[in-house]
Amino acid sequence: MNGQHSAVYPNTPARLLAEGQPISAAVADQAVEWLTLLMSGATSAQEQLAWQTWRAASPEHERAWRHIEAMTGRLKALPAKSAYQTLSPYARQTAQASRRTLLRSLFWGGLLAGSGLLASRTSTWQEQLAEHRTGTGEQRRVTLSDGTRVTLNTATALDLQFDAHTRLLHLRAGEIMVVTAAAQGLQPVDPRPLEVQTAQGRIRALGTRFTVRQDDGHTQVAVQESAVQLHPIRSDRVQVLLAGQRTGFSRTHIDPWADHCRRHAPGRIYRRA
Amino acid sequence: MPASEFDLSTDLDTLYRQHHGWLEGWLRRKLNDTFAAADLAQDTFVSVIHSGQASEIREPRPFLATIARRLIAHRHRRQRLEDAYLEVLASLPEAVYPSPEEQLQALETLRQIDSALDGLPAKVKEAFLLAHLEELSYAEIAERLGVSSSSVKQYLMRANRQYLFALAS
Repeated sequence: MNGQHSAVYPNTPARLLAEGQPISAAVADQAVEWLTLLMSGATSAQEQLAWQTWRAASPEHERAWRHIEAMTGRLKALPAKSAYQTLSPYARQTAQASRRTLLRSLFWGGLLAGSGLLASRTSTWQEQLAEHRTGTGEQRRVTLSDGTRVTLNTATALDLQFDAHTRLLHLRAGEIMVVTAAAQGLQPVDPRPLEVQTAQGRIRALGTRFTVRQDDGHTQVAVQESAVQLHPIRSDRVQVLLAGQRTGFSRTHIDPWADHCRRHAPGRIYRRA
Repeated sequence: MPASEFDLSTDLDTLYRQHHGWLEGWLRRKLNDTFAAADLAQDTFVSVIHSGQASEIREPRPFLATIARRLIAHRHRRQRLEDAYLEVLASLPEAVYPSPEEQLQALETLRQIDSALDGLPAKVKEAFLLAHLEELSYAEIAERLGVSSSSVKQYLMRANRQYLFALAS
């Protein structure tokens, strides 16, 4: 609705918003400059530090940046090839001229998405800037401030967002195995919920050991101990996945072959572990 | 304020009674489609309500016609985008064909992005799409577009700003 009316009234002065709150034009400009610099993938350690400093300098900066992450996340959640072909002012002319090339690239795109070979593609700026990263063929184990143990598989990028209310592991790419402090028998148990965020949704740990893999347009989850709760971004459905079970989900759907899981735990509400 | 709301509704009421029939007729002749004309006439008045400008209109018919023309363009644009998306879908191998809900979802997001990038020059838009969706480096984009790397950076500044801060989310 909004989009339509702003399109019809192009002269209406636009208020700049980040997360629903107004921000100043100066901050918006700075945020855009940072994004454009960071996206180039050619930033020095010094520039990255300057960016961190800028981000931490005021809540407005931080809010502008979170807005950027949400908006670029929206782009990332689209199937990239089809989205590019649809939106590009040039792609379709070329596509019509050489449908074979298009078909081939889509075929390879599909094949790669299915086989998890995407690790070989160029990493995005989000991945390059992630707090914890592994290269192709590398694995690493990290212990977080709350005692949670995370193993990063090959070509993985992970950001942490710990605040007063939540412990969020933002999986940008690749695969992680999580063993919560509770699952290791550590005391006291942290009362904040522990969640993994992927491009498709969130996985909430219910005192547990589990793995999450970010594929192209799809998230795979397997539970080794106790349970996790799955919540795709665009679904009202929440599903509990129990030990020994695995499934995947898109932004709208949890894979149907895991449907039996729901019957084991119909409507049960788990509090944090 | 109750008083101004009252004024507004009176203005709208007058505007609607005096010009709705004319607008619908005008649209019918233009589009040669009775149903589309009725729809668009309705949308035009909805737009006027949203704009809150009903009381400031000096020449109602040219004003309404201008809005209606923009709505027609908007509708064509949506249709073109939908056609383009369907065309891309048609070329997908069955194994990666998205579910109907995923299609709707993707189309809605594509519309938002398309409308957010509206008005940008083709090369600026292309640079944005190549950087964000195709994940090409600035050097690769420069080569594809036949411009310098610093132009690519300029293009991206402009497109990023418009995408990030002009889109009503």
